[in-house]
Amino acid sequence: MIQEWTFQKKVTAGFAVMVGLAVLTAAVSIYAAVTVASSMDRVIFVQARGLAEASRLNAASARQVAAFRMFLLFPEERFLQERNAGSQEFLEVLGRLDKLVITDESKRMLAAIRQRSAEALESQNRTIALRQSKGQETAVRFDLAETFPLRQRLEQEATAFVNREERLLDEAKRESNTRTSIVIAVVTCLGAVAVLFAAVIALLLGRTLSRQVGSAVQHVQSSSAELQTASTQQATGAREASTAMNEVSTTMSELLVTSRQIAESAQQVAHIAEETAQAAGAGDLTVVKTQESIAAIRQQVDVIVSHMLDLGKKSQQIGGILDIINELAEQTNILSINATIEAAGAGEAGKRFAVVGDEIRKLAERVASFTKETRGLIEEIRGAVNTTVMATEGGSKAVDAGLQHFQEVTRGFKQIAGMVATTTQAAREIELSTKQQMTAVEQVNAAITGAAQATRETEASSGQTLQTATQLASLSHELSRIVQPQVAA
Amino acid sequence: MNSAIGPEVLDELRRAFDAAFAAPAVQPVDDLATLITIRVAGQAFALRATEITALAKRSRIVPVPSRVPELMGLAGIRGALVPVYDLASILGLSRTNEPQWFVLTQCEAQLALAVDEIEGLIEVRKTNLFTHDTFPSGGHVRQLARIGTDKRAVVDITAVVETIRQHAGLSVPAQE
Repeated sequence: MIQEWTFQKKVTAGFAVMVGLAVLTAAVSIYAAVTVASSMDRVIFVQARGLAEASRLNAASARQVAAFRMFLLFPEERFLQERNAGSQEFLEVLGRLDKLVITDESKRMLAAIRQRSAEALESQNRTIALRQSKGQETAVRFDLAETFPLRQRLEQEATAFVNREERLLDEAKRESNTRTSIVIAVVTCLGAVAVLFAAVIALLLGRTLSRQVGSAVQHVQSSSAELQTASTQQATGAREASTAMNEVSTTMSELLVTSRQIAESAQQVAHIAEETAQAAGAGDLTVVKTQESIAAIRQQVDVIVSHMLDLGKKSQQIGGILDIINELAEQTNILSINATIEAAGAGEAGKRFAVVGDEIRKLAERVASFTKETRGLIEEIRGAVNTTVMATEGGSKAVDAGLQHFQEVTRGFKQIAGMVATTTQAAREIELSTKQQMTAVEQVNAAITGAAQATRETEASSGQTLQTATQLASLSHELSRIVQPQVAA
Repeated sequence: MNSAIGPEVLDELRRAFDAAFAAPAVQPVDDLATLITIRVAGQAFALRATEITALAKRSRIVPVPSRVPELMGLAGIRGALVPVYDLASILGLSRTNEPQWFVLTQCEAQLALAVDEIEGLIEVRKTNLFTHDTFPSGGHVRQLARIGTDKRAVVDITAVVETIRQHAGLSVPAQE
């Protein structure tokens, strides 16, 4: 998860850890300083002051005892006042000590000192009364017997108290020194830990950031190389696009000229189409007249066909008559042959008859021959008539076909007229469209001119981009060399 | 178109017809033989005019049962029923077409021979007729007639009639 942290997050986390360690070290140091200071205060302000007060207590006791003894020697009032002042001071010091001491033993010892001091003071009061009433000797003896032991005991107890306070002061000093040493050791350890941790964090951060930055720099280097390549391609493409746009601009200019020519041609086509429509109308009228003429021709052809058919029938009738003639000739021939046969059978008497029969036979043969030739002619006439009829029928069919073709031509002329009208309309629309197209081409030409300018600017921009990419590649290489020299090498 | 027939042809024909009546009589010549040229089973033959009595166009032939195989039937010719015999069968030929003509002849009674075609009548000099017995016709052709460069077999009607008579059982064939 840490690997996914950002550079800022990692640095912030590292500094946060460092700050935490510093805060901990500072807190520990402050705590140690406070502890040491407290210990020192206790040593200085409690134990040392107690010891001082204990010394003052001894001093006050000594002052009071000295004033008491001076009164015993010289029962003057001033010694008595001195003795009282010393007592008062002793009590005051004792009262301050009560406030200073904290241990039960010290309080008990102070209570015992207070009790012993009261007893000694009472015994002194009685000694003083004896000095005043009975004289020095009595008072001294009484003092030696009563007061002195009390005072010794008081001094012993006070000395014990002072010794105790001195011992406590030494212990407090030792304890304070020990704590100070511990604090120094703890703070030193914390500082060492903090330094070590800071070093580890710095190393980790350095490695991590170096790795990340190096990777990023490599990415930047790779991207800059790709950008450089892309910029080169873009520059090449922009240059080619610029060239192409120039060519397109030139072509569009030529197209504009061509569009103008097309518009003029379309206008001429519309004019010609109108003239063609008029000519088609005239042609339609001519075709109608021609159609009427063809119909008349067809009627004539029908009459010719009818006459030729009649001629064929007549020829057939002539053929029938020729058949009869031929048959008559054949019969005449046979009759003449039979006559010749009869003449031959008649012997000598029939010879002359045979000559006549022979003449008749020859005549019949010649008639038959001519009849045959006539039949041939009639057949030829019939064949010619049939051919003529067929040709005439073919002509009639051709006339019909021609008529049909003329009808188709008429329809074609009508269609031509309609198509010419459509063509005229289309030519006008083409003219209008061409004008619109010309306008559009002009606009496109202007746009392409702008696009060519933009392309040239793109080409220049691509050059700048290429230069920037080259600088970026150099910079990334330099940065990589700084961040990861072994990789850059 | 054949232009052989014209007004001049008609005039020629008319002059020849008139000349036939105006011409002097021609004397008959004795050394001429009159032959009727015919076609039977696709072959050309000739008949002596003196051996036949008449020619007739074929009429309806009514078949009748007979032991004579060459008998085609009976036909009405010139008001009489005449038996009709197939000349091609008599000559031993295979008939290819239906005969169209009858040749009438006379033996005990009148009979008719059916032939395919009557070509015409010709006259040849008798010197142009010569005997020829080896013609394959069952003995019915004994002479050939030379007509120009061609030769034509002359059918012997007498022999034909004799054959019919023999087939009809009216006579006995002569011993060779």
